[in-house]
Amino acid sequence: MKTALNYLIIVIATALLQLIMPWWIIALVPFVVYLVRPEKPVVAYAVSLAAVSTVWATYALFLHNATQGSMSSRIAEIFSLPNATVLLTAVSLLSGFVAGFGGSAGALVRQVFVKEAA
Amino acid sequence: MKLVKAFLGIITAIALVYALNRPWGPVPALGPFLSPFTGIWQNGEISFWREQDEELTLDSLRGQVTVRFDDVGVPHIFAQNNYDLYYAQGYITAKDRLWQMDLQTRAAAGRLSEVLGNSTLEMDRRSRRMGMGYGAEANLKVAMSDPITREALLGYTAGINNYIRELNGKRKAVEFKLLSYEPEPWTPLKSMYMLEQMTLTLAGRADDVAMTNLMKRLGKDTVDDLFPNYPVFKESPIIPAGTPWNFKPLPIPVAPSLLDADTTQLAYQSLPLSEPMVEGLGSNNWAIGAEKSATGYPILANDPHLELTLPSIWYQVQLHSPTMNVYGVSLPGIPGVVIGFNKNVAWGVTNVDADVLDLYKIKFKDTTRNEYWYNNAWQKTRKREELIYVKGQDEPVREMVVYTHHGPVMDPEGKNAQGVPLAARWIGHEAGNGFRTFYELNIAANYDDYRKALTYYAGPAQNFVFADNSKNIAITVNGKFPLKWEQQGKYLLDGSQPAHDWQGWIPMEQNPTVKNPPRGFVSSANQSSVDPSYPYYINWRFAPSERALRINERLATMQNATADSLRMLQNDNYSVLARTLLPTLLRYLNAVPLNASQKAAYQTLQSWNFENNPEAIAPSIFEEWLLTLGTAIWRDELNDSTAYRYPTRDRTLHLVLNQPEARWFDNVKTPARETISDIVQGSFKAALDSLTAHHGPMSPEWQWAEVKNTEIKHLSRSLKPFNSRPILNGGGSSMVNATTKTHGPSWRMVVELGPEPKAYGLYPGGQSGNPGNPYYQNMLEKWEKGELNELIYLKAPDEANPRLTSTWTLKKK
Repeated sequence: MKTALNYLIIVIATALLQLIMPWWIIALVPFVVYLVRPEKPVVAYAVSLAAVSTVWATYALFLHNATQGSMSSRIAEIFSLPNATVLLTAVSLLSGFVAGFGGSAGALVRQVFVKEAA
Repeated sequence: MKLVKAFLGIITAIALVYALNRPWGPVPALGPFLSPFTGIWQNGEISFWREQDEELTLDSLRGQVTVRFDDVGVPHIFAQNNYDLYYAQGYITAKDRLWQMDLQTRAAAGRLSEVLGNSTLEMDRRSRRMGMGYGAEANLKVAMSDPITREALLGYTAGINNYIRELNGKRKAVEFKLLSYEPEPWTPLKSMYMLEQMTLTLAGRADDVAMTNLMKRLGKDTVDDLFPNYPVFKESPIIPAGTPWNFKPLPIPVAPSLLDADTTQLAYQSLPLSEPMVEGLGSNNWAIGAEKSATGYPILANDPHLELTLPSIWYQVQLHSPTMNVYGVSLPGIPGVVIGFNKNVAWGVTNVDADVLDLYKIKFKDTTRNEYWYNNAWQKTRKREELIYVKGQDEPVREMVVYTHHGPVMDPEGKNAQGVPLAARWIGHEAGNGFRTFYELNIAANYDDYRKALTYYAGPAQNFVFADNSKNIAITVNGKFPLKWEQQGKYLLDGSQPAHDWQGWIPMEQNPTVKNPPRGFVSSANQSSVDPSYPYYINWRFAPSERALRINERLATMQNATADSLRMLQNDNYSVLARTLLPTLLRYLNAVPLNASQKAAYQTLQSWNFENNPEAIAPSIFEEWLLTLGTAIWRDELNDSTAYRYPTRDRTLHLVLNQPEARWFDNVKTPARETISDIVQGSFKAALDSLTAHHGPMSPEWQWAEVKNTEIKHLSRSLKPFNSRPILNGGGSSMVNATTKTHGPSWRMVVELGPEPKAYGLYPGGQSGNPGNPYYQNMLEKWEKGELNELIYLKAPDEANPRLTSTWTLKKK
C-alpha cells in the first residue's frame, strides 16, 4: 500500500512538474518523497525507477504514436539504434536510473537524521 | 557510516544529473534532449499546425493581418500595410525555417565555429578573408537608407524576432537540440548575409590562377587556341544574334601588355575560393510571346538549378497589401518574393556567368603588410580584424584581413608557399540594393516598371526574364558589370598598375536586353550572354550551350503552347550533346574488335534515342564515356602538381569533331603516338570497366536513375535520416532537366499571363523545415515525376477556395 502510494505520488508529481520545470525534477521529486516518507533505499530506488520510467515511457509512446514516429524513428537512426522502440526503452530506463538514484539518495539521507522504528 | 552512504547517494544522483545535463563533444545534453517533455519527441508533427485556425497576438503589428494556408502549406498573407506584411512574412517563415536561416547566415558571416566548434574554423576563415562581412555591411547601408527597403527589412526582422521570443525550449527545431545551441535574435544585417551568400554561390568563382598557369606553361598562341573567348563549335546566345545595340557605347579600355616575366606556377590550394564551377549549377528561363501561345497571352517559365537541400532553398508565399499582390518563392531570410508573378507581370532569373571576381597580385613593402605598391608609390593598406569565436574555446581566433583598394587579400599570412598575395576585386563588395529590385518587381505592372526595377541591382548578375499581360516579353542580362578591356581578369591582374583596375561600369541601360524579338520567344540557360558584336567584355566562358540549344530549338517550333507544353520542356531529357557527338564516337569503334559485353554496350548506344530517361541504360554509358574521354584527351598535358583547368566542353567538341588530327590526342606519357581512334576506343573500354566495377556487369543496375543517384541532403550534410529517399528521375547536367547527383531544378514555375494569371509550380521538398513534419518533403514525389501544382492566387482574404485549409488572424497587442 505504502509502495503503491509512493509510486503514485512520484508519477503524478513528476508528470505535472515537468510541464514547467527542467527535466532533472525527475531526480528531485523521488529524493524529496523518500526524504519525508520512510523506505528502504533499495525499495526507494526500485519504486522511483518504475514510477518515472512509467511517466517517460507513457508520454514518449503517446507522442511517438501521435506523430507516427516521424521524428523518433529518425533520431533512433541517428543514434544507430534499430528502431524507435529500442530508443523508447533506453530513454525510459535512463530516466528510471536518474529517478532511482534520486529516490535512494533521499532514503539514505533520511536514515542519517531519522531513526526508523524497525 | 550512514553519513558516508547518504553522501555517496547524493553525489551519485547529482553526478548523473550533471552528466546528462550538459553536452559531451558532439553529443547533446541527453537529459533535456531525450525527455518526452522537452526533447526530440516534441518535434514529431503529424497534424500540421497550419491546418487549424488560430488567433495570435503579436507585439508590434500596426494593424490586423490575415494568413490563409493552402493544402501544400503555403501562407497567403493579407496585411493593411507593408510593414505588417513583411512582419508576418518574417514570423511565418521563421516558424518553418528558423534553423536554416540561422545556419545559412552563420555560414555566410563566418560564424559557424561559434556553434559547431573547431571543425568549421577553416570555412569561417575563408568567409572572413573573402570579405563577406565587408560586403554585407556596405549593402546594409544602402538598403537602410532607402525608406522602402528599410521598412521591409525592419518589419521582416521584427516578425522573426517575435517568433524567437515566443519560442519555448521544447518547440525549437530539432537541429538546435541536436547541436546544443539556442537561436539568436535576427538583424537586418543577417538578411544582407543571405544575399552575400547567394553572390558567393553564383558569382564567387575565379579560374584566374589556373589560366595564368596555363599561359605560362603553354604560351599565348596555344592558350588562345584552347581557351577562346567565344564558343567555336556552337552557341545560341541569350540575346539573339543580330539584335541591334541601340546605344552609343563608352570608349572601350585598351588592354595593357599581359606578358608576365614571372614564370612561377601558382598552387591552387593556396586560394580560398578556387573550386571549379560545379557543372549543373545553372538555370533555365524563357517566355513565349502571345503569337506562340494557345491563350493569346505570353507564358513564362523558370527553373533555377542549385544544390538541392532539405530544408528546401525556397519558400513559397503570397504577399498582399493595399499596394501589392504577389506570389512566388522567397529565400528564407530575405523579405519579399524573388521569383514569381502578380496580376500583370511574371519574372524569373538565371545566373549570368559574368567575370566579376578578379585576383590582383600584390607587392607589399614588407611583412607588416602596411603598405603596397600601386601607381608608382607605396599606398597604405587598411586592416580589419576578424574575431572568430570557437565553441569550447575562451579566446576568439583573431584573423587580420588586409585590404587594398582592390579588396581583401586572400591568402593567410605566411602560409602561401609561393609568397604571392592576391587581392580580390569582387562584385560581392559592391553596394547595391537587390531588395529594391525585387520589391519593384513584386509591384510591377508593366515593362517600364520591370526596366526601372533592374536599375537598383548590383549582383549576383542574373538574366531577368519578363512577361506581362500587355503581351510583352523581354530578357535582360542584368547586374553591375565592370567596364573591362578584352580578357581583363581572364588571367591574374597586376595590382600595382592603375591600368589593371576595373575601368568603371557598363552603363545599366546598356546591359544586354531584348524586347519582343521577331522569333517570338526569349530564353536563357546560362550560356553566352551575347554574340561577339556586343561592344563590352563580360567573360570568356559561360555554361555549355546544349541546354540553350535544346530550349531554343523546341521553342522555335512551338505553336499553340500551353503551360503544360512549357512544363514538358522543363522536364526534357534530350541530350543535344549525345546527338552531336555520339555518332562520330561510335564510328571509331567500328574498326576494332569488341568483346561480348562491349558489343552489347555498343548496341545499346546505337539504338539510343538520346533521351536521358530514368530507366535507360545508354545515358549511363554515354555520360561515363564522356568523362573518361575528356580525361584521356587532356589529363596527360594539363594535369600535374600545379593547377590547371581543362578547355571548355565546346572547345573539346570542336577538337573531336573537327580537328581529329590534333596533337592533343597523343598521350604524351607514352612513347607511342596515339590517335583519336585510340583515345576514343580506350576511353570507351575504360568507361565500361568503371561502370562494371561500380555496378556489376550490364544489368538493370546500370539504369540511369540508379547510376546518377540523385539524393537531396539535409543541410547538415551529416544527419542522413533527414535526407530524402533516393530520387528516381532522368536528366543530367547538359539536359534542360538539369538534375545531377547533387544539383537540380530547385523551383519550377510556369505562369500563363492574361486577364487573370494562372500559375503552376513546386520545388523538391516542402514548406516545413522540420524533418518530422509531413510538409517537410510533401512536394518531392510530384517534382520527381515532373508534375506541377497549381498555385493558388487569391485576390481577397475571404476568397473561397476548396484547397484552403485554415485561417490565422494576427492581431496587434
